[in-house]
Amino acid sequence: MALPLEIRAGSRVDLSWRLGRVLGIVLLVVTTPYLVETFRLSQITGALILAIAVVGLNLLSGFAGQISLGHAAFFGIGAYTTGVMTVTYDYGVVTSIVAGMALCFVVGVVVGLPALRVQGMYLALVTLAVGVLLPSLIRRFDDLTGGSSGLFGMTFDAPEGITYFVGRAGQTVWLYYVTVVALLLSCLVVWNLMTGRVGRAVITLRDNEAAATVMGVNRAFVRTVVFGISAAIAGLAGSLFAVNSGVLTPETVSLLLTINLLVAMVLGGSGSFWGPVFGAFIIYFVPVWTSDLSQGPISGVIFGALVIALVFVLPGGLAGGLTSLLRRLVIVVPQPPTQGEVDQTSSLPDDLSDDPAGFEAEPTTDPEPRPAARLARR
Amino acid sequence: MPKRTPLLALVATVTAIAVTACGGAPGAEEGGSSSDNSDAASAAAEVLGIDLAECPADVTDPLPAEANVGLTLPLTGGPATAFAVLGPGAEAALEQANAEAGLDTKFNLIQKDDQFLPDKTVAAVQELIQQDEVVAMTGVTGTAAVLAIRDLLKRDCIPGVSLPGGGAGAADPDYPEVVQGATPFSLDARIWVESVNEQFPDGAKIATFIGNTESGNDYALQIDRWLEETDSKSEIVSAETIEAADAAAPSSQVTTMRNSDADVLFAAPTGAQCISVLTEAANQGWKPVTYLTTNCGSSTYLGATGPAGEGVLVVQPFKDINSPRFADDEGVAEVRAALEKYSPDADLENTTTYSGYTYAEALVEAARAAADSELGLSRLGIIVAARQLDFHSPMLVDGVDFTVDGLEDMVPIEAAELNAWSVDEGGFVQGELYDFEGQLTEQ
Repeated sequence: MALPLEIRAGSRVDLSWRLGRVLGIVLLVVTTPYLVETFRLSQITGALILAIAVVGLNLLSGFAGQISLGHAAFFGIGAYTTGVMTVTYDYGVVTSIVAGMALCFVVGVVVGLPALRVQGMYLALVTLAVGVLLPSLIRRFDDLTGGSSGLFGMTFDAPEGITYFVGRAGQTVWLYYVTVVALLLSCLVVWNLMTGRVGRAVITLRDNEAAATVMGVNRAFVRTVVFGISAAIAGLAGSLFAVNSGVLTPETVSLLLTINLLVAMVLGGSGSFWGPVFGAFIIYFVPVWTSDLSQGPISGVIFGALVIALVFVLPGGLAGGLTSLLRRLVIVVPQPPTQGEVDQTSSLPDDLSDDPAGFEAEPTTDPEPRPAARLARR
Repeated sequence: MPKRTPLLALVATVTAIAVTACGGAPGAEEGGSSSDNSDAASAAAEVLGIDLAECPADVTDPLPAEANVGLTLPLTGGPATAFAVLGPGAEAALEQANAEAGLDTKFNLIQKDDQFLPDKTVAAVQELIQQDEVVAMTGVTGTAAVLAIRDLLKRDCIPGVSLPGGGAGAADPDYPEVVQGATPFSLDARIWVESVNEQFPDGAKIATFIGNTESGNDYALQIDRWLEETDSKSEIVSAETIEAADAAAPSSQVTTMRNSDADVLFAAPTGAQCISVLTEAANQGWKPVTYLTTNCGSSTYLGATGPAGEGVLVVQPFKDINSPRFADDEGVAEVRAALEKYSPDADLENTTTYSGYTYAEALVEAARAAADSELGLSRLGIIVAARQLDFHSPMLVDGVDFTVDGLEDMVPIEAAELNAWSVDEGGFVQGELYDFEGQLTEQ
């Protein structure tokens, strides 16, 4: 049997392949609590929360190409909104999460406004200012935030009456499931955005802003809304972090977190849909495992070496590496057009007749297009 | 179909979760109540406000022949440089106990990286409790970290003996399982105020330069507290702060303090800022009577200030291994020998290594006392014994003991010398010993 196997898009095999992947995800999610100890499940939840934040950052930096060094701030705004609302003002957790996301969206849009005028490192500097500002504000308003001493006591209790979630282990499983659903929702939002009109606009703006503007892309709207959605997703991650860890300090949302998110995005695969999840797990668990392997500061060296090695071995990130591997085994090829579709396309030259300059797109010659670009073309 | 795949995954996952939730919960253990509710155990627990029924069943069981002790510390990230050496120090104390203490239980130290972030400390301690089944924690550094994990320790009735958080939260009567390990900030502030009251009976103008950190907040509160409680005539005329990560010289803060005509400076910044505030004050020609936080009270910091450090006063309950005064000290030599023998990789020139030894030493003392007690060497036995500890560590200066007394006296170190740095001596000159034993616990 010659590899790679070719699967026709839309065929039964293709359908089974997709359903199999869905089934795999479901099985993994549902069986994990039965396979690992409670503390490990709590750590997995921590990694999934990080993954949500990376999904948000990936939308902005991976897909839209706008560098953000302030995502820890959005994460922190979500976290502290939930912390302050639930601990100090006794609001419900769900309300606080929604409020945190809304606040992050608004702040994200405001921070995104400079993105209309500045790009690259200049935009990075603007977002860096936000990232630096938040920890200082948290310390300054310590009556509200607990300041440097920290804010404690955030919990998200499972609904009463469900015995499955009773007790310490049950509570951990509850938070795990909540986080899984939140991550899937975040991925769904980004997927829907990037595979639709907005996604095409985002990619075009990233690759050629002038062309996008000429084609009628609303630059201000797309840039600011993508910034806002990215911030809101990071805020969601922050809120979940608050209830999962139960402790918030300004150091938690320092620049180090932004750097970790960026590293996770690159290691996982910038501009890919699964990359953030892989990257978040690497960032979360590699330090845990290296400290188990060796006692003392050498674990930091191992972690650093691993990160460098991964960047060299898998320049497209883990998602890119896995995709390449899968392509050697299976490729999905388009279904050949039916006779009816061929007949319909015969009117194409007429449709293009009003093209003033004959700007018909040249067929791409890029043998390995970037994942985002590939998706945008679908 | 491609666009529907993630939606399908979400719907399928939620449905599967809903179906699963109708079944039995995974890992539904929940410990159960203690099996041994003997009169002695119940009475001892009750005195400390511990409800044995809420503790896991094995809290009163004798420890096994080998038991794990947990230590979380930064092994990665910036703070690792300063704190990672705690591990080898603690290792030496436990190995020494295994070899020499004659206890029925041998202790293994399990270290986990917490990156000096409280949320990571929580995750690491959860792992230590559930996977490594630690019978005690020691050396977890920082008040925020202690505050973050104390509920975990309380829930599983695990002793946290000698956790070096200087804040009041590390000595809270609601958490009898936690015994503070570091010099409390309240002792620093108490001695500073007492000294100022003695030197300036008619009152002094005080400037404070405090790090915008959790320990800095504690310093500010304690200074206010003791100025008020001692009816001091002195007053704070300038209160400047600095961010922990600020590496620049604090020029503007020093200028403001100098212009306030303050006679006294209470300085509690972080790390290298201890050096820069002193050199900046000297550069600006300002020479108040300066009291520096005990966290910076080592020859390493003061030696780097040059003439600017002359006469700076530091509260010191522990011996400074780099000071000429303790070059031939028997206690220091004893600990150094233990480090060399039981932890050959330990950095013998680093004060923090010795701190790690001292923290674990308190746990060993508690284990010894528990083994000799009616409760025996169990987790409850260690908790109860640790709340009655009274011993003199070889690393403590004469006249200072590690002493606690139930819930009445939660602060172990309540006495210290107030020593002045001498450039000529290249070390601290022994000053007056202040003893506030039993007075610093906040009820």
